[in-house]
Amino acid sequence: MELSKHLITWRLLIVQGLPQTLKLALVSLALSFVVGVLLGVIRSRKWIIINQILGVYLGVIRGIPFLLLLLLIYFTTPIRDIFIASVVTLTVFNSSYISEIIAGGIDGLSQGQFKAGKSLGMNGIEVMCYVILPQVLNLTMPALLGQMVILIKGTATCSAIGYVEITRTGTVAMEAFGNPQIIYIYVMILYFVMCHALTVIGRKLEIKGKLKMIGKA
Amino acid sequence: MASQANNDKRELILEINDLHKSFGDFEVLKGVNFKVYKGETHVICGPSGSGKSTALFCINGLEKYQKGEIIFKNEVITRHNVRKIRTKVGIVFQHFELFPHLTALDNVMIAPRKILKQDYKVVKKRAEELFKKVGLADRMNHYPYQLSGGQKQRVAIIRCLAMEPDLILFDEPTSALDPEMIKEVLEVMKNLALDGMTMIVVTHELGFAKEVANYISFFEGGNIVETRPPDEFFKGDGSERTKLFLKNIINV
Amino acid sequence: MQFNLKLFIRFFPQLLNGYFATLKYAGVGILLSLLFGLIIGVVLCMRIPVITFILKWYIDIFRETPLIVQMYLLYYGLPYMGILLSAPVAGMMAIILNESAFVAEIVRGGIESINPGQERAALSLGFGRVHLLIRILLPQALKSIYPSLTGQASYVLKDTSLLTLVTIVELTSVSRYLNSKYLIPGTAFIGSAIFYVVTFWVIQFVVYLLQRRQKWN
Repeated sequence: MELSKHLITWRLLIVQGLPQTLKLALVSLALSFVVGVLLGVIRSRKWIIINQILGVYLGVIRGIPFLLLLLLIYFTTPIRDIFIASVVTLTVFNSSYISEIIAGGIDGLSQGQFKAGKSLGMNGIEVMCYVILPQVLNLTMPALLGQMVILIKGTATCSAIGYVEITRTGTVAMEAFGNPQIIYIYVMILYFVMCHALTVIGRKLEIKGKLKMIGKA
Repeated sequence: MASQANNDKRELILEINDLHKSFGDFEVLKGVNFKVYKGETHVICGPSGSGKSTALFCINGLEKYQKGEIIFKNEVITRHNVRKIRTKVGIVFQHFELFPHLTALDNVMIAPRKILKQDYKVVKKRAEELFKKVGLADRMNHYPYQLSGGQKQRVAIIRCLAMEPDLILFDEPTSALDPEMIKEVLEVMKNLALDGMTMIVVTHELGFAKEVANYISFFEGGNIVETRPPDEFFKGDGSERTKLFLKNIINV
Repeated sequence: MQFNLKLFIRFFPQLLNGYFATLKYAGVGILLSLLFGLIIGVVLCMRIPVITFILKWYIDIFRETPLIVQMYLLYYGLPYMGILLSAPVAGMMAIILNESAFVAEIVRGGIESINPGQERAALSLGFGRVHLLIRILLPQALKSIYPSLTGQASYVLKDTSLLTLVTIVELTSVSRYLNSKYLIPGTAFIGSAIFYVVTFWVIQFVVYLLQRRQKWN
């Protein structure tokens, strides 16, 4: 494949594919985050009936393959727009994992923090917003970054219902240029750059977190 | 030193010459010189952080050092022969370090069998006798988590003995033990010394030192301040720093 | 549009066949990814300069790029290099390469979290590094990581649903077929979801039992 085709491919991937991936990823991320934190806080309150229901819901979501969930949402709900279906699926899927991370983080925080906030006159919501959540978010940031990586990888699967992003653009380019496999390697490089950046940041945060725990940072 | 004049006829087991070691910018060993002859029990004491344990770990290569040489039975220790030498130099750790997934018996037998490649029956017999010797014959098939601290340390000691070493190093062997158990471990160590094992013991147990040691070295600030036989050491007519250290210990 | 029990029963045999195919692929995937992941993880801990470098890159690349792209690369891309793989082989290779990387990380994490005193004790007895890894560190590491390892089973199971995108017949592809032929998305997709979720719950239960047994010890 001549150089011009390589360049065209890259241009396509970056100009056409990448923005779509980012759009999908960022919107889904924001929504997953909001829903996830909400669900996580609810789970940490340990209200019996709600927790049972949530438990079943989460058990189902985590048990279904992402692709199947995507097909389910696209074909059985009134949603007809591919982008919206993808966002909803990514949100439903990732918020369930985020809720678990957050709930775990809240449980791990000592009771003393709740007491301190309350004794300063805060009500439950204020304690959560001003005292607990900031700490939990800080603590669980490495895990959350990991979930972001999973989310970005998930956007690739959305190409299966026709959403045009990096992967789909790559497939189109491959068919146009006669199937050279180097194109998928370019696709992988793009995803790798995005995800690896997040992973590296996550690792650095984890190390900093450990140093903080033994009093060195 | 005058008190060592007779030792030239005996075998020099370990010699440390001008040992220097730094952790980054911090020099923790500042030119240590040390000699141990066969059959001697040599106790090293001193304040925490003075580098005693580090020096010990340098001997069998667990810590690397920047300058100096360590000679074991007339052979300079290098990275090439260190593995061989480790089979002849045993080390007993403060936290026992038994292998939790093996029974006490297996812990003792694993190295002679897998490293020295000795015959199963021979090793088993030796191990069983060692267990009897330290009074743990009924615990051979127990796992470490089923043993008390004192029992674990005794197993750790015979794990070394099973390799039939020429020298055993002890890194604060009783510091992690509850007081009731310290005695049983010191008993084993005392018998070991009386049997003629060459031992270097880093410890705070000065009672043991008084009873069993041939020499006591006071280690402070990265080097040996002085080395004396126990009676001279405790009389306190040595250096000023030793005197200060002893004063604080005796007051406790 | 929704789930129709009568239709589900009518198409149950087809779904069941798809399910068996899924189990087949999942079984192979789980076994091989555990095997390779274990080996790679142990080799990684041997700290051999060049090999460690290569393995670390392999692990990062396969954990941080989407599985779907890896599958496309092997199935659509390799033929260009003259390597023609059948769909099942290409698809399974992608899954195994992908999940082995995750397993290797779990194994490496387990081994490196063992208290360093153990390594010192073994070295002092004269053990060489490889020997000590296999006889002393690995058995202890396995005890702490085997719940995570068994949890991998559910990930592989969900990965197999992507195989439909490279023309392999398994549970998800059966449901897509039923949907496109009879236009019964609710029955088809919810029907196959039932299979996945029940299997997932069985795996969860096994992991739970194993974790409880571990805490006991």
